[in-house]
Amino acid sequence: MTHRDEHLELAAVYALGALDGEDRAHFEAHLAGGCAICEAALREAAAVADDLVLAIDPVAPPPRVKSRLLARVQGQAPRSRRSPWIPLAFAASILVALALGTQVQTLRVALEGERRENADATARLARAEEAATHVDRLRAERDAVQTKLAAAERSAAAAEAQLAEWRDLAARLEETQTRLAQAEDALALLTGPGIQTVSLAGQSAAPSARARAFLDPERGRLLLYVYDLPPPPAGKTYQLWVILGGMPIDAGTFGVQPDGRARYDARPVPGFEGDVTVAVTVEPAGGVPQPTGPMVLAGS
Amino acid sequence: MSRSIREVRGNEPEDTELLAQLGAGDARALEALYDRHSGLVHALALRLLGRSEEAEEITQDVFWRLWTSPADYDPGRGSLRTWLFVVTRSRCLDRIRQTRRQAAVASPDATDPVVHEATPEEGASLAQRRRHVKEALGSLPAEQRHAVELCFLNGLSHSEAAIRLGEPLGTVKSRVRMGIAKLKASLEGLRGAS
Repeated sequence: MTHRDEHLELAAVYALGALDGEDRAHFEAHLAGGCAICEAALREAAAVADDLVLAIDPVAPPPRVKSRLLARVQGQAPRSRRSPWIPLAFAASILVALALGTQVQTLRVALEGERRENADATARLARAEEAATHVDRLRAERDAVQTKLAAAERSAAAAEAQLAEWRDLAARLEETQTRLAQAEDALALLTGPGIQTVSLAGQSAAPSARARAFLDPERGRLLLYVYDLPPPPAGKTYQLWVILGGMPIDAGTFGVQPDGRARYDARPVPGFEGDVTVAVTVEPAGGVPQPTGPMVLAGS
Repeated sequence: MSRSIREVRGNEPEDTELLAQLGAGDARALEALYDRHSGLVHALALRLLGRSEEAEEITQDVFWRLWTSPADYDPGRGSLRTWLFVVTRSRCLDRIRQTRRQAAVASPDATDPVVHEATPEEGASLAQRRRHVKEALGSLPAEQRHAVELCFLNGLSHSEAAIRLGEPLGTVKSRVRMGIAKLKASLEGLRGAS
């Protein structure tokens, strides 16, 4: 509370112990707020009041008052040590008032602090409750999303499995179709009107091997089926030759399966006229223009 | 504060000494303090109550209290004389309230109606001091003196004093403040001179 000049009037009256009513409440609140000016004024006024007591001229009481007092002292019960400090009107009471005022102010400040803390806590609690509600809502949403996700994952897994199965089926279908096409092709070749058949016998390099070649002179096609031919040595390959009029014509290279079989659809060879000889030699990988290696199969 | 007051009160250390003896249960100390201060207590009671039987009763009660509860007085908070003044004033005002009587105070224009009779124990320095205080009070403008006397010596509250004087509350407060300020100035001047 800001000090004002009127507070000095209140201090003077208060020091005499005469301040009452609203003025007293107001001034004590002012003191409680801590006012060095008013405290000094109170001390000065209290010192004056202390002196003022002397303005009363003493009037000696009649002697009977003293004798009654002393008689009472003589016949008294053990002395009471009860000593409540009655707040006095000035000098002493000012200090008490100041101390109490300070205490009251301290308590007010503490109370105000607690009120604020309480309000803060309530606000925080409200926010926490709001947040908790929000968290609950988010949890529910998350659970729903997780459920959907799990369902989706299950669907995806099922779909993937289905897809894999389809791919497998498709691959098998393709393979089957390829085989079917080959079979149809082979069948068409084998059942064609001008088909020539050549049996090949194993030569010294592979005595147990044998093969059969189907030739379609019209289209220059040659289909070779090989049996019991060992795989070629490392770095080597089998090369097929169509020999026409003593001239070997390269018809391509091929490998064999582990069981010694091979089916080879040779590159087209033009003009199968007259006697045809078919032979297989062992050649460097990649093949060569003219045969160089040992012959493993041959037939006319 | 108490130290500065003691400096101007020659008897104060003796009061303290007697109080210590009284606290130890020495009735002679009570007797000595009674001899020293009963004049003030009695005079104040007479001034406030106006009836000698009641003033005698109050006087005995006040010293009985000092005997039975000496710790009620705290020397660190002021002189014994002032404490006795306050206790006496408080008792008298209680008595007045109980009996719903008006305080039989002297009218402001007729102060000091009682017989002046200095007690034998009063030393020269105290008598001088008393004279200074009365001079200072007497030198105040009448309306300030009345306000201070009513509020202090007669124990009226400032609102009661305003009614008694027929003046606004603010006027009474202002007069008290000015009166106290002047008393302070003159008492300090006299103190320096003495």
